Amino acid sequence: MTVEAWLLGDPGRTPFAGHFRGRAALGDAWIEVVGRIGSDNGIVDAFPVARSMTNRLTELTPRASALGAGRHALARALWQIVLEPAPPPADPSVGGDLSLLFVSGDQRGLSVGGVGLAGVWRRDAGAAWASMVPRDHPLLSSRGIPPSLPGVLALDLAPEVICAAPRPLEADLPPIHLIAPRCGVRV
Amino acid sequence: MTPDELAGLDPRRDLALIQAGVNEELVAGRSPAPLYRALAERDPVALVQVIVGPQAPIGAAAARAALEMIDLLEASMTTHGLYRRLSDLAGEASIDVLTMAASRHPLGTWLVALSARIEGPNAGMVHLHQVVGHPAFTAACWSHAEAGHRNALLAVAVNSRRPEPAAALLATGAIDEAAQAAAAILSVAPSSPVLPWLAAVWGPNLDPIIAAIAARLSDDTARAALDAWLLPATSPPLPEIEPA
Repeated sequence: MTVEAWLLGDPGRTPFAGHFRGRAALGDAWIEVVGRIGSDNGIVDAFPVARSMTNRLTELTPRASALGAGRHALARALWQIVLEPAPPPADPSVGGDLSLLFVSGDQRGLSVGGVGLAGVWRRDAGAAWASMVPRDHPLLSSRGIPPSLPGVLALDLAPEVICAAPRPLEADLPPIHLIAPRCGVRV
Repeated sequence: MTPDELAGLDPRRDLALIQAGVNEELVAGRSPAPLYRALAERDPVALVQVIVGPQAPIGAAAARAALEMIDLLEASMTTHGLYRRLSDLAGEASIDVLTMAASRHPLGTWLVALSARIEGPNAGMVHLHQVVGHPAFTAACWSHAEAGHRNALLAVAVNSRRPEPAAALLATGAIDEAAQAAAAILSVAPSSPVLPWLAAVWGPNLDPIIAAIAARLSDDTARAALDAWLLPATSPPLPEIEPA
């Protein structure tokens, strides 16, 4: 069972400039990743950066298998990909506006991590959306490639969806009926 | 009626006579523009009455003459109301009215409704082509997309090779038309950033859009363009091994 990870887009006509996503599995472990990168530079420049990130996320499983097993291996593989400089022809300065949310899980538990998030909410089966962390929680860090390996938040119960607002958006969840469309999720 | 004959009339009192004079010119196949110019100098309010009042002349020639007086007319009434009235009177010259409106007021949100009224199934064609390259282009694309003017958006996408019309189509759920527009653009302008725009509108789950575009590509150049946009190099290519 996986948990969906959603990332809010900006208000306006082109909300998803620089958005990317990826998912991977390793044995019984899985990871869901959403993020955005390069959006400060506009729609056109953000696209190849985000595509490059999407393509690099396809390396998650082989990298994780070299690191061990379970959800932590997938999370470490993700940070390995994020922390290493983007290969040519990407601009090495890209990444200062990175926001990223991931959820990883296995039979032993769930982990949530990220960078550049202003707010994180969960929706449990049959329940309303609820904020997961207070505003001063370490999960809500500033944007950009983190200088070191960030920690993760462990969850006891699996929600259906975890949604995050990337900085510099405010930590405000849209009205319930707009959350999925604002995240580019179509049913 | 000539401008000299007009000089002997009181524009307010003799409005009906002037109106009749305008109609005489039109029936004779002459433009009433000289008469309009003469009346504009003497009594602009009377001219507005003649051109768009209850007894205004109907037809293309009258409308084209009216458009020569557009500065004066616009100063006398709301632009939306003016162009709507002129288009009602203009007959086959209603496109001329719309073209004038779009060129003078490219940001006018009322142009969307006026376009629908004048152009029917091709609504938006004149306005969108008029504002290509204008800062109002993106907003105009979205307004026409929300009004369902898909034919015009598709046409302007192909003609202008710009990404905004395809993005606007996608934003309103017109996936087939957006894909059609994107495929057409990639065929003729491989470097057009249509995919970044579609992704910025749609979100990162772009696969259904990419599939819809790919299904409409008919030449190798366009397919190569699509691949180039989707697969930015993640590492330098490995050297090729010579075949054994």
